[in-house]
This record gives sequence, C-alpha cells and structure tokens, in this order.
Amino acid sequence: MDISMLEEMCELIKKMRRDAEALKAKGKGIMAVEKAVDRILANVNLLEINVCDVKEVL
Amino acid sequence: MPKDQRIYWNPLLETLPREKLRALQTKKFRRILDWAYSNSPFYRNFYKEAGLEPGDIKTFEDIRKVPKMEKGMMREVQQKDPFPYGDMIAVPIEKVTAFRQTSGTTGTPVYQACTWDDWEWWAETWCYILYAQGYRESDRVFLPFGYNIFVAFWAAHYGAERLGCEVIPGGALNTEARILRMKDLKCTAFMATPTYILGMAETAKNKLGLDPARDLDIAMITSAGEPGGCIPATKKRMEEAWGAKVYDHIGLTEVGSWSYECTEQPGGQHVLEAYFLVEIEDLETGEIIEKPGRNGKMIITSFDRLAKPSIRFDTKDVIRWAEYDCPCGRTFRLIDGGIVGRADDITKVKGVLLAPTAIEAVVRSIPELGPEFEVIVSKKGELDDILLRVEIMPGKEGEEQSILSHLKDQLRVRTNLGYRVEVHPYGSLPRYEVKAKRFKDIRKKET
Ligand SMILES: [Zn+2]
Repeated sequence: MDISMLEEMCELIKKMRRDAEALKAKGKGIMAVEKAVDRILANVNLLEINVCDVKEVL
Repeated sequence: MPKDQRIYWNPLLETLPREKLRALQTKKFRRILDWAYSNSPFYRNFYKEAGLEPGDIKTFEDIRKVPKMEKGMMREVQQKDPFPYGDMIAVPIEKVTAFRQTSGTTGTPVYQACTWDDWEWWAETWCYILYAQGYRESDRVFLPFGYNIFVAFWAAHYGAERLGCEVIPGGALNTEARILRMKDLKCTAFMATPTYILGMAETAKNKLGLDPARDLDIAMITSAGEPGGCIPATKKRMEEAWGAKVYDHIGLTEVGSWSYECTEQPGGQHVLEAYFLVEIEDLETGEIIEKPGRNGKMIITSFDRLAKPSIRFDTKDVIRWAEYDCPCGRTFRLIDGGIVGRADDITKVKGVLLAPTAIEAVVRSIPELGPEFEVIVSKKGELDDILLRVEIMPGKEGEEQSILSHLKDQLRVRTNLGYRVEVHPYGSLPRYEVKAKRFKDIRKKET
C-alpha cells in the first residue's frame, strides 16, 4: 500500500475518534449514547493499532 | 513474487519489514510502559524500586533493562485493593467488564481484568490466528468447551464472530451430543485441546460408530491449551482421526493469544509480533537469545492490554527461535516446535534432564499405542524410577512384546533414560478434557 493511502486512512480514523468523543460529550448523561460510543471507541482503538501505528514507523 | 494480500488478515502489520517491525515494537513497548507507570500503582512502585523511569527506555536493546515480573507477584497484589485484582490494574475498577482467572494448577488462581477495549483487542488477536489458519466467513465453527470462569476458548469465540464465521457454542453438552451437533450442522471447524480432540475421535468411533474423517465435515481444527499441537506425532494422530488440518495456537491467560501456526505449517508457530514482544532468555546466563535453535525461557510483553498490563512477564515456558522462515510471507518470527518445556517442569531424573513433552512425542508416534499414557517418577531406595503406563490399541494385543520393545528403544534414543513400562487395558487410563496431568513426580513427597 502506498504511503499516501495509509495517511488518508489514518486521517479518517483520527476523525472517527474526534467525532465519537464529541458525541460522547454531547450525550453525557445518556447511558445509551455513552455506552454505544465506548464500544465504537474500542474499535477505533483497534484501527489505530492496525493502521495508524504502522504509518508512524514507515 | 509478492503474495496475494488477501491471504492476510492485516497485510499492513503481517508483512511489515523486520526493521520496521522492530521500530514498531520499541514504540509500542515504550507506550505500554508509560501507561503502566502512569496508571498502575504496582508497576510504578516496581519500577521506582528498580530505579527505572519510562524515559530511560529509548532503544530496543534498552528494553532488557526493565525488570521482569512473575506470576507470584500477580498473586501477591491480589491481597491489595481494588478487590479482587489488586493494584496492578491500570483502569478504574468500574471500567472492568470481564473477569477471568487462570486454572490455578500451579497455585492460587490469578484473576484477570478486561475492559471492553481489552476484550475487543483479544478477539482481534484471534482474528489474526484464525484467518492465518484458513477460517473464513463461510465457516461454521463449533466450540466444544465448557464456557466458564477460565478464558480458554472464550476469546476464540468472539474472534471467530468478529472474523465473520458462524459460531456455535457447544458448552453444556456431553461429548456424544457435541459430536452429533457438529455432524448434524455440518460444522467445518472446531477448537479444543489436543487431548479432547483425540478423545472426541475415540468417542465418535467407540460410542457412536462414526468415523469423524468420513462422517463429519470438519476441515480445520485449532488445537490449544496443551503442547500436543506442536508435537508432530500427536498432530498426525489428530489429523488422521478427523481427516482435517490441525493448527496449533498458544496463548496465556495473563498475557493473551500470542502465537499461531499458519496454513503453511512450516513446523513452527508465528509470534504475533505486532501485538506482543517475545524475548528468549538463556536459562543459565540470563542473556537474551537472538540466534535460532537455542532453548531459553520466554519473557513476554503484551503491548495493548490496558486494564492489567503484562510487561516482561517471565512465563517459565521454554521455547527457541526457528532456523527456518515461513513461505506464507508473514514477517513475524517463528518459534520452532512450540513450547518445548517448562523451566520448572524440566526435571533431573537419574541425573538426566527430562522434558515430559519428549515422552509424549515418543508414545504418540507409535500407532499401536492408545492416545493416553501416564508417567510416574518415584524413588526406589536411593534410585529414581520411571514408570510409564500405556494402553495398546484394540486388536494389537498380540504384538505387545514387539510394540514395547520398540517403545523402550525410542524412549532411550529420545530421552536417554530407561523406563519400566506397564500395559493397561485400552480405555482405562484417565481421559482429560483440559489440563491433562500425565506426568507425576512423587519423589519429593516420599522423602
Ligand atoms: Zn506462515
């Protein structure tokens, strides 16, 4: 995979984290929102491990 | 010629050039060290006492300066708050969503805390394993294990689901019912310990009149929990009994699912090096072994497990780097022949170092012998005595003398020791579902 494609993927993953955290802040106190975001963030974490970490060592 | 990238779960990590992989490992080690130092009172005190701060670790070689931790420490911290894990955990207790524990075969169980992030991470590691073993979305996977307090195949279940397989939990069923469900549902894969894989095949034949290789649709079996999957003779028996490929996996409750065999079956197991750091330490000098072929004990770090970090965990498992590469194209290193012993299991008998896995390799290589055996080391006066109990396969009783003579010869060649051999009726030695206890050293109790 070329590096620019990897960079684009990482930008999208970063945006996902920002959006999910913003949603959690906005929905603070609504358990249904907070817990759904926690599950989303657990998978964003895996995208960071599987994709973004690679970009940083290339 | 480059491989088709679709054979990998994540080609970005699995084909990363070695030098980049090492840079990734250094970066990830520093990250987990920093996390543990900042969030786990146990680790902070442990490192402070050793005069170490996370900033001291700058290079890959610096990692060796970090003190190792042992299972005994995990037990000790459980006396402290927060209950029941102690101060090794690095997240607020309310963030823990799953409890598991070790089996406690070597002492008090060690409790394991996972957050949802950890659990997703654990399932993800299983995706690397199962995908490399050929599991795909079209597979129907049966899990014939007691879903309980031990981690065992729980993460495998979630991993297979995450990969997209159809997963059938075969928990509270007896062996016959499990086999029949696997048959009726045309399952294509299952996962179990080597002992149970062989035991199920025996039950299918003897109690149900089924030949698993002919009457079931199993194409892949993942073997875990015992060394049998790394022992060629045991693997051959399992593959023949089921008419399926058997792939080994090695994991540790305290650490995670760190090693696996791929479909190329090169004789060794890949280390999931993007998720774990495996170091091999010379048993006598303590130096880290980089060269292939030399046995040492495994020190392992889990890079991404956050609730209860495992950093430079001294497993006491004996492994060695393989002298060969794998044609699958993964750059993750191979260990040769899986776990070849336990640093505290390898005992001196009659002045010779003996690994119980060597006896298993011999017994399982003789097709006229049953799959079960028992070894009892005792003292007769001042001398060590090794009693080996075996079973002879039905129909082969008339060949007992020649079978036993071949067995004794092979044992002498492989282990340099002489044995008293007792033949027991077929099916009379204990059958185990998990954690088989075939090796008993009763010398200490007698003195
Ligand atoms: Zn391979």
